[in-house]
Amino acid sequence: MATNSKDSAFWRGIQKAGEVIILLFRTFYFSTLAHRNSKRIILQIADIGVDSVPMVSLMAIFTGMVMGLQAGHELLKFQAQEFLGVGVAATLVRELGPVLTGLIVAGRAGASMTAEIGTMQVSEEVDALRSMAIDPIKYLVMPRFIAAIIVLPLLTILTDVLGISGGFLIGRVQLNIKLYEYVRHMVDFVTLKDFANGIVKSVVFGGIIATMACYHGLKTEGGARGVGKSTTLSVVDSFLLILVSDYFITHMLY
Amino acid sequence: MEEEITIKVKKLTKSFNGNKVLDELDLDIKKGETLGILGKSGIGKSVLLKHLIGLMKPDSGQIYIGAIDIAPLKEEDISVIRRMLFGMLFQTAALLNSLTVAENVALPLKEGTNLPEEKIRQKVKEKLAMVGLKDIEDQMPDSLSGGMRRRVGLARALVMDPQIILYDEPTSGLDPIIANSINQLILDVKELTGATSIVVTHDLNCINRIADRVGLLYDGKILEINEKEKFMKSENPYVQQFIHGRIEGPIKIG
Repeated sequence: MATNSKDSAFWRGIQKAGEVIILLFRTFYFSTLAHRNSKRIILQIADIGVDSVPMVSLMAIFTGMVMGLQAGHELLKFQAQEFLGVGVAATLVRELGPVLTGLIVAGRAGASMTAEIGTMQVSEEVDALRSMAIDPIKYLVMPRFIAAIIVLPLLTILTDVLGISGGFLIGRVQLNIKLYEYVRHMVDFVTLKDFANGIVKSVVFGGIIATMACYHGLKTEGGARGVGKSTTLSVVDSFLLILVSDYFITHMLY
Repeated sequence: MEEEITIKVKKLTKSFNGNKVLDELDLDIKKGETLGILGKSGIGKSVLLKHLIGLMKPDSGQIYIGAIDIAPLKEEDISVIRRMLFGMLFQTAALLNSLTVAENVALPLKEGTNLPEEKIRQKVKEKLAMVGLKDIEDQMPDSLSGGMRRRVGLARALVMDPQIILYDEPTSGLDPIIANSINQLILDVKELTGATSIVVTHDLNCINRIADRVGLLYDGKILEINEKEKFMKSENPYVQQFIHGRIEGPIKIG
């Protein structure tokens, strides 16, 4: 065989998975020191969370409105428009809320995290941290990880609320559905368990985004081009892992 | 009684993508000396330096810091040695861009010690004064000139009172006057701290000003190492070619 088996795509995949798992475990380990790094965590919460609010809001309202339009007209055919609220809420709370929020945050905050850490890596700032006996996982990765798993559930709740409101807006304006009709069945069919499961998903997605963003940031080599490449890989990996893990989490929880 | 700390490198080998950058390199560094390592750009000078502080792992060979071989040690253990003994000035200073000058210099103290804020502030001021800077504590690294950045980088390297200071191309990219002021600074720091200094550079003027001994790195090995005066008069054709900058000679160009 001409090529070394260690260079094969399969072997590289295994190696990468191993490295990501090690990074994740070391991040867990340093998370016990989170209380001593609260300032950096709060800064990251602002970076990942607060700055994502406008984009997430816009996405949520329009998603809810589209669902209102699509489902509303179908339900109208059966005179069942009072079920619009349930349809929109169940879809958002269980599935679309966490997934869409995860994808938006991966594309926005995850990409910028990778670009920032990647630039630090190629400009020797990460080496400088190590030379000062500061573990980059403790200093750079852990605060981002903690911030992401705190922020994603909050943003997901925002998406849920705004999406349901967007659905109602269309129901009210176009289908003349009253608020109590829209909400009435919601409380019967969308349970606390649905809500909790959505939150569990969002926590996992937050972890995925931060881990992949930091992993690719720290693996960056080769200057500006390398930073661009890492950023792309980080977003692609986060997207794929969010969608794949969503299936498995749903499978486990229901 | 203070322990004599010397660095001893034995048969250090390191390859990148099958390209041997360091090839069974041997090197002894005496306590308290300033060793200059000359070599053309991209020959592996920084790689050698990063091995001495454990930022890179050798493929094979030993690196003794005092009596301890750091090559097989885990990152956590090397970290302890770095904190106790080492300070490093990176090529472009590698200051963290998101922190002010004072926060940069304070970083090793904040992360590695339990000193109170007041004491840290005092120490930062003291080290900045040592490198000839004052009243710039609140500036951001972006607003500093190349020479100032090096000074801040050196203050940060000195803040833990290291016994061994590593300088990676301390004068590259600086105009001759600023470069000489950095050379003078390295001499002053030596005078004040008595630390062992290792300087890798291709700047002959820098070597002439500061080094006690000089080595030439080529083809993965230290080809010649000697007292500065003897080194400059060496009949070794590699040394002669390098110090006279001749195009013809045994050192390949490119």
